[in-house]
Amino acid sequence: MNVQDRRRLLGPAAAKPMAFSNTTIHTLENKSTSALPKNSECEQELSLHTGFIENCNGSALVESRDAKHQTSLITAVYGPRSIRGSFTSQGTISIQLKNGLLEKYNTNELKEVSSFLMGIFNSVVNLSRYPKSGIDIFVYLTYDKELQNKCLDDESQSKQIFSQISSLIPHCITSITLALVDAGIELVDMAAAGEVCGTVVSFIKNGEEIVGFWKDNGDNEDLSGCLDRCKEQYIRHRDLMISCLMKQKNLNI
Amino acid sequence: MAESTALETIEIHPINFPPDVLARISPELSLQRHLSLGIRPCLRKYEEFRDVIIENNTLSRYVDTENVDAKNNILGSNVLKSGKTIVITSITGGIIEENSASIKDLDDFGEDELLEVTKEDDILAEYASVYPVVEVERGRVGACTDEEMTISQKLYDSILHSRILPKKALKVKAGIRSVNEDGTFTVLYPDELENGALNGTNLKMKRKWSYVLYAKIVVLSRTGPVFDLCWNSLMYALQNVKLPRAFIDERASDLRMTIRTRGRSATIRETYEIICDQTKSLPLMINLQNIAFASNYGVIELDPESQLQDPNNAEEEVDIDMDDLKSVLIADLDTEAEETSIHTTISVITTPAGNYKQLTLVGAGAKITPEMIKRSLSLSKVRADDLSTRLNK
Amino acid sequence: MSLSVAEKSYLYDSLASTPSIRPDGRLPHQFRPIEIFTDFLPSSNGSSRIIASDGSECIVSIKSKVVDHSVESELIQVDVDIAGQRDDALVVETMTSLLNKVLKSGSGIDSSKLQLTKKYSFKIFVDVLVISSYSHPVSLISFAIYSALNSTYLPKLISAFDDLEVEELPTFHDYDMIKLDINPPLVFILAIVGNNMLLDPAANESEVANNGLIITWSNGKITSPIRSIALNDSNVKGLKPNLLKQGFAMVEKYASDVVRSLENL
Repeated sequence: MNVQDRRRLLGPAAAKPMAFSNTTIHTLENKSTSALPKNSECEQELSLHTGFIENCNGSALVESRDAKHQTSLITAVYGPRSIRGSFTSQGTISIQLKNGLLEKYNTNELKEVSSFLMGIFNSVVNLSRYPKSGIDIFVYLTYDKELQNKCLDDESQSKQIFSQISSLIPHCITSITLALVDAGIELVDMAAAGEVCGTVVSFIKNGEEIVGFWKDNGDNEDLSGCLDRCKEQYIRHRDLMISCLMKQKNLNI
Repeated sequence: MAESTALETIEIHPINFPPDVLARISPELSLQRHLSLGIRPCLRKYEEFRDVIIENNTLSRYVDTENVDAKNNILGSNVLKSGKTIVITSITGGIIEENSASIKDLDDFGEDELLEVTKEDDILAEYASVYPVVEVERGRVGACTDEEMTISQKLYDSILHSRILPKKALKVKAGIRSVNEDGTFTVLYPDELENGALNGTNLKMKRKWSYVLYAKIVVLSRTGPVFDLCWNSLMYALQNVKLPRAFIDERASDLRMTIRTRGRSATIRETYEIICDQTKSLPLMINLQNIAFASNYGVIELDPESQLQDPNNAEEEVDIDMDDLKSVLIADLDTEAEETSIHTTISVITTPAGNYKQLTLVGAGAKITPEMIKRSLSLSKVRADDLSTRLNK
Repeated sequence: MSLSVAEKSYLYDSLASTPSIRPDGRLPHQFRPIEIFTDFLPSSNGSSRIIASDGSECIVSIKSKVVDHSVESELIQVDVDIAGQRDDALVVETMTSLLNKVLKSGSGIDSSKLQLTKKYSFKIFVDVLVISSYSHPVSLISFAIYSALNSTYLPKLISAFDDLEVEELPTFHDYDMIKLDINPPLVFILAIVGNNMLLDPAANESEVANNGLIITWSNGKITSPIRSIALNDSNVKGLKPNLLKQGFAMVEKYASDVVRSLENL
């Protein structure tokens, strides 16, 4: 199925990617679990930066680290720029998610997330202010590392990945919002999101409105509890974004 | 002032632009104005390089030697920041079976002697390269750009011809995994054993494998030409590559085809699967003396007409001889203005010891004088020396 | 089909009013009539063809393969092809990813139902071809997959179940087939207009909807994946949290009726 791209140097076709055994890791497992309780109670640390990429209109870097994993993603916003073709009365948003160094997500899963994010930002960006223009957003998942070293059999490994992409979505939303603000694009409100066990809820207007809902794991039990916990995270993320932007602004003056 | 056949005269007012607007509408003029003051639009001096900040091996699976990141398949990495540009290089690997068994490969003992004999014929065949994929982020989707393709190809060729990566270093010294009586696995590597206790017949494998290295180079925030940055980043990354040890199952070490009577060929192949060790690794043995660093230069003629003139002696300056153009050497091209208006370029790849690996001269417009080549060569050496010390920090 | 600004505004007002008035006179929870044909492809293990009243049409074919389940953990693979769209188009890839999650082993499908022996299992390949679609096709596709899987017959195993010790491949009966007994999930799509929820939105309704919800229903309860989805790019707005609960309640109330009617084919 995969036709080799002749324009790139992809190496010999017969070469196989390295397959790492999982039989030799057992000794490590005990070591990492013993170190776990120490940092499991600590909160997720977030670090935000904006405006460090030169050749785009707005950019943001979000790095997060908690007991389970470490994530870093870079967002670049290009636009509003003119689009070819006929007149459109409002702007169009496109979002591309790109696998970074660790190519762990399928492209179709990334596209599903990007179309979900497009749904969110269609309701967050004040698109009627940008007729006949396109806003292109590129999210680059630099790395996304498991800090717990576990030996997993195949089945739970695939499950792990499913829950991971949903844990990334709040950070994607934070970084896109920041990058849009950095590019000076008008927003209805600062969007942010929270994630609880594979459920992502994105809010605006102080949690009064939901702009995105994504659930990957489990059944529909305890919806309101989930919403409340996501809202807490939303408020935390939003406050962090605002303080980051204010700090940035004070630096520039 | 204006010549007009019409009755009315038209008055032309000079328009003033702020510097940043002028830089957008006429990068050439803006550059010349800056150069006449002895600086460049990025406020560097003619021969001043951008500072380089590197972060080595922070992304690879072997970051923490105690605790190998099981799901990470990066073998070596580098993040390089130069000016505003960020280059992220990650090296991953694959394994290829050498099926075209030449005489050299079949007999391991005489390999070195044979190498000696055939050395004159084909030295390059003893070296390998990495397969680089360069991605320059510029807010577009779709096919790769010409720039990405040429940089990838140039990196591939330059590594091969710089003789940095000997094929010997990529050979897999495969171990053998055997199942003990209590159901646990042990892996034996031929070179780890004391005086070759097991080095007899049962560890001799007819099949050979070698590693293939891929480099993914992502350039964020591109502000000027990026080949140098990619090359330097790749050099740093290559130096911290660690190759995982690989092994095959005991059953596969001998090639008797009578393992299964009812099995099809597909099931037999499966047992030869070569698997990499989760924790054990060996550093990649590259030719360290051939590690070279790249730098680039541009040559531009100073246009006397766009000099910022001192109003006091404006009269004198007009008489400058237009044929006698003075050109200057500019180091480490950056910014759009320099990239679009400087077409004459010199690029050099050299080792810190002054072992020159590559020199490219592109003459377009401005004349490249022998002095300039000399100057750029000596600057490159200094630069390479400086860059090579960063790794040991 | 594109509506003018005036048409959109009229449609929006009528859909958002209480009670909502849908252009085709349906009740909020009412589906458009659909026609389903099953088991019409002779070369596949199961198949179905579904046609909606607006002319949307979709064909699903089920094929199977024997795999070693210790190597391959995912026992159902969905492939979606939408006429007129490239394979790497956003809609196609999104749909593929979503349906694979819907039918994921474990939560969506009981993988023990596909197990043949201790070593081998059937792997089911679901190929979806959307011939034409005017509104969001996910609900239609899931109905088609449901009826195709329920009409799937797989070869009968005649070799021993316990094959861990003996090296043998499963062998099958020459004629006898066994009906596949899995309970595939259904996917419902809801449009949110103002404070109203509408099941199975038609194209014109999608165009004015403020938001949409994709809800999965399996074994008598709502399950993951659940998504909010923008059904158009001009009219999207946030939704009040209580609408989410309202939507779930609506699906909970009517989903079993849909399941019953699909089972009675």
